[in-house]
Amino acid sequence: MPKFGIVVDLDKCSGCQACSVACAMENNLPSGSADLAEAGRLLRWLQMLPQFEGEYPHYGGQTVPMMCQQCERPPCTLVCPVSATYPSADGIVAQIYWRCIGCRYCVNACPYTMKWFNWFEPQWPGELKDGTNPDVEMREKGVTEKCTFCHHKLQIAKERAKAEGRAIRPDEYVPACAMACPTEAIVFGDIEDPESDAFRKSRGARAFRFLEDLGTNPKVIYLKSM
Amino acid sequence: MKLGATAGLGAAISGTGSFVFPKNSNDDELAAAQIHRNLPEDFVASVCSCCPALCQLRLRRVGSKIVGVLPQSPKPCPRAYAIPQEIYHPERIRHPMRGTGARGYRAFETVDRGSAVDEMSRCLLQNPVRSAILLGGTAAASRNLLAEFALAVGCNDVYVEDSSIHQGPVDALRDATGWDRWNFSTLKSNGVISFGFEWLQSSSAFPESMVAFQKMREQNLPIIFVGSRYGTTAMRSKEWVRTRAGYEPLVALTICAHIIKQEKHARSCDAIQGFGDFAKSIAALDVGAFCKKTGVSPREIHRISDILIGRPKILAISCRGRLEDQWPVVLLNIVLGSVGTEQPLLPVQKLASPATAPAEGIPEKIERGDVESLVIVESNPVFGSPNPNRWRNALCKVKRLVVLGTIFDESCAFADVVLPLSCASESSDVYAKVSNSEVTRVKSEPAVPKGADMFDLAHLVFDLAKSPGGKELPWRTLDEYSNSVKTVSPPDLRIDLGKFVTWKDPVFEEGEFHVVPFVPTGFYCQNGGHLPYLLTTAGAHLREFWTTFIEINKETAHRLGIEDREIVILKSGAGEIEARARYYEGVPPDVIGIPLGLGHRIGSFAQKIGGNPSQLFAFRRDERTGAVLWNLQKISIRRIH
Amino acid sequence: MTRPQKKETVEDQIIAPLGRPTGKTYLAVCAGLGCVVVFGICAWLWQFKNGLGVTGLNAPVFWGVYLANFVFFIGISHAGTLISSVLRITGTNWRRPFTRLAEAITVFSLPFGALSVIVDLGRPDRLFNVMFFPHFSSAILWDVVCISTYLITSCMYFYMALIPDIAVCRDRLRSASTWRKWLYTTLALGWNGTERQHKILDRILSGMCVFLFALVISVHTNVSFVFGMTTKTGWASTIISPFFVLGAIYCGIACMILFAALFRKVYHLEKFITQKHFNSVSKFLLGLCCFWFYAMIVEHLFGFYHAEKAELELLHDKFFGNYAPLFWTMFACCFPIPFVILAVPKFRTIRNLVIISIVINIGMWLERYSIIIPSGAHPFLPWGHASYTPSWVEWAITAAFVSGFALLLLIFVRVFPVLTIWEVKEEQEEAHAEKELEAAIR
Repeated sequence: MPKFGIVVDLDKCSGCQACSVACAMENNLPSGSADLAEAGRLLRWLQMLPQFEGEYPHYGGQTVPMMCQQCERPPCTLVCPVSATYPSADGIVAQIYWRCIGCRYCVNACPYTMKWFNWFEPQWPGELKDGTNPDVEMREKGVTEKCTFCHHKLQIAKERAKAEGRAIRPDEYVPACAMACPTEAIVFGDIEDPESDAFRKSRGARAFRFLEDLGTNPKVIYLKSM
Repeated sequence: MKLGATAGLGAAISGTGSFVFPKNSNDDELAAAQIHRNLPEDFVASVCSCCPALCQLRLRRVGSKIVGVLPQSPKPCPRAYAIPQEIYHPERIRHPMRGTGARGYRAFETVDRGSAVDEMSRCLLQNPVRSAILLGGTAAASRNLLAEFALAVGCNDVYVEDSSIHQGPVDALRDATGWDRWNFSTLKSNGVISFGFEWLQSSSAFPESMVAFQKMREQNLPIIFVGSRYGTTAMRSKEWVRTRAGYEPLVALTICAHIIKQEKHARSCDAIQGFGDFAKSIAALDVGAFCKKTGVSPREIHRISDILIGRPKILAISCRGRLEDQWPVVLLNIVLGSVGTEQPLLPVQKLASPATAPAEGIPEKIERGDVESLVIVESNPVFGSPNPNRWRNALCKVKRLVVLGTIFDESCAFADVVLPLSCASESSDVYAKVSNSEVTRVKSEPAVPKGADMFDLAHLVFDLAKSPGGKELPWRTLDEYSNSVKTVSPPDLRIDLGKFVTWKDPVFEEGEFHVVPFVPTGFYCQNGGHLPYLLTTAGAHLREFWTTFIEINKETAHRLGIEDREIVILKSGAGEIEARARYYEGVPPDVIGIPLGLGHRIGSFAQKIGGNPSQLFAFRRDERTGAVLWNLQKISIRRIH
Repeated sequence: MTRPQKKETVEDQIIAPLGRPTGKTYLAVCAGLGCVVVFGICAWLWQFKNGLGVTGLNAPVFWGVYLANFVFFIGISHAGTLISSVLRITGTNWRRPFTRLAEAITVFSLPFGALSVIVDLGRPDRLFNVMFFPHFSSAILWDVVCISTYLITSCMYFYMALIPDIAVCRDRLRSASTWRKWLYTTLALGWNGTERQHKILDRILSGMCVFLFALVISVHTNVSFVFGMTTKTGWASTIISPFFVLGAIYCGIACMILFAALFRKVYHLEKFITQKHFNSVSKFLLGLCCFWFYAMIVEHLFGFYHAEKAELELLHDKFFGNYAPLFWTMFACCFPIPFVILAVPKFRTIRNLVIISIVINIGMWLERYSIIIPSGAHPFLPWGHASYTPSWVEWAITAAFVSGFALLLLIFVRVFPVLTIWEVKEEQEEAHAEKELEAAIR
């Protein structure tokens, strides 16, 4: 079983946020509104984490694209009282929206604050809903959601491969963010397959994970900016 | 811990339902995927027509709806992924509308296509000498066709939207070489030094910049940003050279003088006629005084010069500012030997398109009575122009106003008649795309049918040509027209430094703080603020979403008693807006950073907090070049209470 | 009215208020509380319809007032069990006039604790998913288990101890209306106070005491696990469980004192709940107060010694930053004010006790709030500004919970005796026996 992971090279990230918008489009994230933005209730599975330090003129740092870190030992799945979030057989931390009771325990348990809650029924003004991805379930109010590494893409790729009687090819399953990244800063792949780009990069000297000392063992690996 | 077991148990129980996901933990399956599999899914080649980069994409079509965007290499900016939001936007104009009531606050009612076209033809053809067209967006063949038609019937002029803030120093290049189409090819360069130009954020060649950036990072090539603000480009550059706002080009001139003095300039310079004398005059400049003005130490200049001359093909870029701002950067490219067909700064072919004038001339012409009727195509000057009140007043005065567009915006609110246009993905069109030094034609076919009441611009022009008072065009189809347009190649380059404009200190507007405006990625020509996905990306470095914000140094803020996230009033000679003050140590105490493109007041996604920053900018134009100057504004700030 | 020559028994004196006609003030208070409850229900329906967005919650403050209420009400409920079970086991004398009230507080506050969680759910309609898809590593699941067990057990316990007194009401309240007579007869289960019955009751109660004692500890430990078992700054602490249990008992006892003083005054029970009783219970409260202070110091000291960036920022924000007014009010309410009043015998008047009981309850609610909210607002990663202001819906529901709790208590004391008659009698008999013994020795 491949171990899917993402390697984000912060040296190559240009901060354009194509990943963020591509993710929102792919996963039917509600557009939000000025009020929701003001209240801190926007849902964006992939957001930029500002990491700056210093004072003018000695100021430095950059924004870091953050998504669900897909921990190998996820704190969020442990605490869900109804198994609405669970580590799937593919090693991806999955969400079952219809089962979620909305207790937001998993959201609180996530040390990366990378889970989102539907405070209201998502609004799709006008015909906006026409442009949504039919592969991805629409969420209702009161449930938790998060990045699933575009799990639906894996499922479709698996089904296609099964129908054709073969194993899935690495290029068949690439999450929207990795696909959108114009500088190839986001690389997706099997982080345990020595053939893959992701494997090579994730073992480099620059590789680190966020909040490593918590022992969550994320499958999203960052490469330090030089 | 056997978590999977419990989850599996739960999931197995859930398997009784028919719609559930997943059915069980071994056979995860999407119900939704099954739904769409009954509908045909395919991918259609298309173009993102939002900016001149004209990114090629594949649109994912499921059952005659566009439900996704797949990038093609080189990959597009975030804007492209929001294309479905644009097509299915709640403010999408779907029917021709007629406005009644006071302009700017009009009520609109749906009218039939015939009377809308009549109004448009009346607007253009009744008194062509006093009618004008403003073309926004990218130069698609259909736009040029409209321009051809307008000029053929004897219209006053065809104007195009100003995009100076996204352009390089093209005027100085034209003066130096006689050719006005240039490609600032970051891809061909071995490093980039930018003088205040956010080439990683708001370049009109975004995809190319990204690929170039990736290459430069991989090869550890120099990326230098000279400027006062720590923006996206400074963040991702290897070096950030801090300088006074508005004085970035002077740093370029200082570097030029330093290199020339050391006689380290490229050999190609010696071939330039009169370079020796010119070099002497440059070398005689008082570098010390310049260093004092810019705040960059001589040692720093020396160090940067060494980096620049250490490698061939270093590209220097800046904004299309004042002519004296443009020249130092052009000169630096010349001195570094970076100008030429094999160099990063290379001349590009152009299409023999109809001649156009800069849009910002329109309000004056309306005031003078030279323009009585106006057709605006896909442009929103009431929002995106500096000092939009000029436009507001002018559009109230103009006798006839017809707006063609896809999304109902601020300018539409002034129109007599609004005509719905099809999007790029709903119509066939031909775009002229610059690649390397050539212009290639990119054809796009409709991916989905346009709305029944929407207009295809090319068809509309052909209809107008046939209407009474119109003039038959020599082409029958858009393809015929676009094939007939010739490409003009640049002549052999001869650099002439005779028109060099010596440095003059900029004259700023009155105010306490320099404003450094920046255009967030995807907001080309301040367009994009109507797309909610983009509204959440504009202020990501401060985690400021939707709201218009300013970046303010903490020290300044403390002095003014302003708290982080406080709503403040910004005031300039041109106007006054509210914005949220955000502490940001990436700006010096005398500088305010401000994003352009936020602050829409019309539509479902309009902002509640914060105004349109364009209102703060006095309309400043370099009289010699016509370029709009955005970097000379100063403002004052006060608290609301 | 009883005639002076006929000696009034303890029973008569205690149940006398139940026989009096319902007063206007009582009705007015009940009606007022009822209105608040109805408004709270409306607010909850509003929230159910529109989603949790009507609250002030946001990212990253995902939990707010509802959770503070949850911990608070569960905390209050501990008073009853502690007083009546632990002190019953240890045979502490001064517990006797307080047991009934304490048990009532337990039984009536627990549902509001449980309701707080339900109100906090984004999808209360899917509540039963916890039964269909239980996931046993979740502390919330165990909360459901613990709290429901606790509720059922304490209801049973409460009822058991009430049976003899119901029988007294059945036998002595001649003037009661028909439905009340029926109620007493049904609920008394044919109790006639035989030796055997007393023995059985005693055995059941003693057994349940022990079970309840274990439950008390486990319930609030579990409540604390909801927070303590996460990685969140400020929550993830080993002392959080004892701290929670301690705080629960602390505010529970305070709450009990408050109502005891209130009903003593209203029902003229001065003879049964004496200054001496209050004196004893306030000494106990003083002990809890000191322990609370100790636990608080330890908890925050750990934070400093961890010296993690997020942790230090959180502490700074609590001590000097945005949450400083809240934190220091909480601290003042929980330690210095009660300490001074409880420690100086001169200040230990009943009026003062009532005041500090209110103060302690406010303080403890604020303590729950200042554990839950600031931690939420300080995630590990620098996501920037986070704020939380409870909305009117949250306040309305909170007010409804407090009112509902008070209303249930009021209704209860209107129908059933507020003192455990048989225990009070026991006490008086013991006192009498002691006196006789003393006299005999002399």
